[in-house]
Amino acid sequence: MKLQLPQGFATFLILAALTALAGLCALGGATVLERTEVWRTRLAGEMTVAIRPAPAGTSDTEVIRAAEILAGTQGVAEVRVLDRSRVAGLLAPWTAGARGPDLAILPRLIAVELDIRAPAQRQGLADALSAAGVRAIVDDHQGWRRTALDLRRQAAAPLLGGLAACLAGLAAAGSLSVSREAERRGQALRTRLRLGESPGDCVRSLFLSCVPELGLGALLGGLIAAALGLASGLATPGANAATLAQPAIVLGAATALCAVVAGAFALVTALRRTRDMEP
Amino acid sequence: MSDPAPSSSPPIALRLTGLSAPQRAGTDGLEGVNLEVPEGGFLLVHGDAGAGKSLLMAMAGLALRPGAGRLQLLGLDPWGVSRQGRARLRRRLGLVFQDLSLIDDMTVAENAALPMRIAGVRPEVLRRDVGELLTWMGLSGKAAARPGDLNHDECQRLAVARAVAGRPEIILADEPVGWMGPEAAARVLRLLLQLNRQGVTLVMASRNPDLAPAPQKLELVRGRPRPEVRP
Repeated sequence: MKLQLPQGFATFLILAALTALAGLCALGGATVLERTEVWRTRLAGEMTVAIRPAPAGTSDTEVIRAAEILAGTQGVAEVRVLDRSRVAGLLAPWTAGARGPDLAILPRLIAVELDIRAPAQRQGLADALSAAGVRAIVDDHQGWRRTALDLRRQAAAPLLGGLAACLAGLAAAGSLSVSREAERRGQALRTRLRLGESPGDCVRSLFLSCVPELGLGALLGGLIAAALGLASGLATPGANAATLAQPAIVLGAATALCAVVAGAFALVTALRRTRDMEP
Repeated sequence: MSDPAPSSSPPIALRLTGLSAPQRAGTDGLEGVNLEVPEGGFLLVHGDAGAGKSLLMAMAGLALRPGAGRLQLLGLDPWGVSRQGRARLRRRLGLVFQDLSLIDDMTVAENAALPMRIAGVRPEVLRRDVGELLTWMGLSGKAAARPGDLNHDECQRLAVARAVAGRPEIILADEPVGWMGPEAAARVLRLLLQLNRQGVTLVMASRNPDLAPAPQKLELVRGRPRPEVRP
């Protein structure tokens, strides 16, 4: 038995696939944007002070003194001294996993959380420590913040490119959908125009006949993107209604954009094809 | 064909002035056609195959734009008005196309009702009028059939039914009875002439110069009008 697919089924599938891809691009872009922004904000709200190791090793007393000086500096909200094993863990990529006695030669690190209302400046902390005779390096995470921005840019370019490619494909699919319908109903539409149907009514009839496949294709694509997004963990882990709201809005907006782009090109094609058919 | 009508004459329904059209496949084109058909008049355009009858009817029915010259329909220049205006003007015409142009995915009743539907006639009036018309045309038993289920004679009757359904001011019929049997042809001609007597302007094209007793005749010979010879 020959399988007979309904008219426009191929366009419907193409629309669904492109909308799903566009939705995933938008969701991915929004997630990268949000995560890097959170990271950058957190980095900007903290500084790390590294106490240079003395030849005989850095004593806890010296570290505590440095922490007290930092805590007393204006613009500092909280100070946390990181224990040696935590430092070893953080610096492991650079120290090839130093252990035992080697830990003594590692610098001691103090995490400084800044007061967000009037944050302390890097130079201010360095001056306070220097004045007290503490040999330390103050890192205001400029490098990491640049890395976060670079990461955002690098991730945004292919995602935006993918989104643009999907939208171009959707525009073509919308246009093809109407062209196919105009081809199928060409003789009938020409006759109607010759009998006095207004070009506007003809455009409306041509456009509306394609709306179900465009709308349902976009809707299905949006649902596929939502399912894939949840499955691949693009949505915030441990998601609840509040955390899912933003990805849902992004996905809804992307799906609506896809439907609007496909619909707009379908409408333009309907106008053009009607004009061509009009005697 | 005739001089502009004096002011006491009825208004002109169709006026062609120096109308020309380029050659098309199988026809010689048209050159220098001048004619005036008053409102309520009846013109029979005749000539051999390829003489340009269908070309003239296509231009009068606004399916083609004249290459040169002027066309006036019901006092309007159709190619000088907006697309909407042209669509409104088309609704005042009843057309029988040579190729019939029936819509295959509509039923016989829907095809016949199309001009009324386009004109926005109320559904109950539309149903009643189309029912009467199909009965007159001998197609009442086929109202739910598709044009593909009809023979050519029936298709032609349906095309005539559709042309008259919208109560047009001008009927332009290209070979309206060409494929019909004598009985059906006589019936359809009777209907068209009756509408003409009621004031509808009638323009028919046929190879047969004696198809109907038209007060105005235009013979086309290789795209040019032959001067009318009065006995």
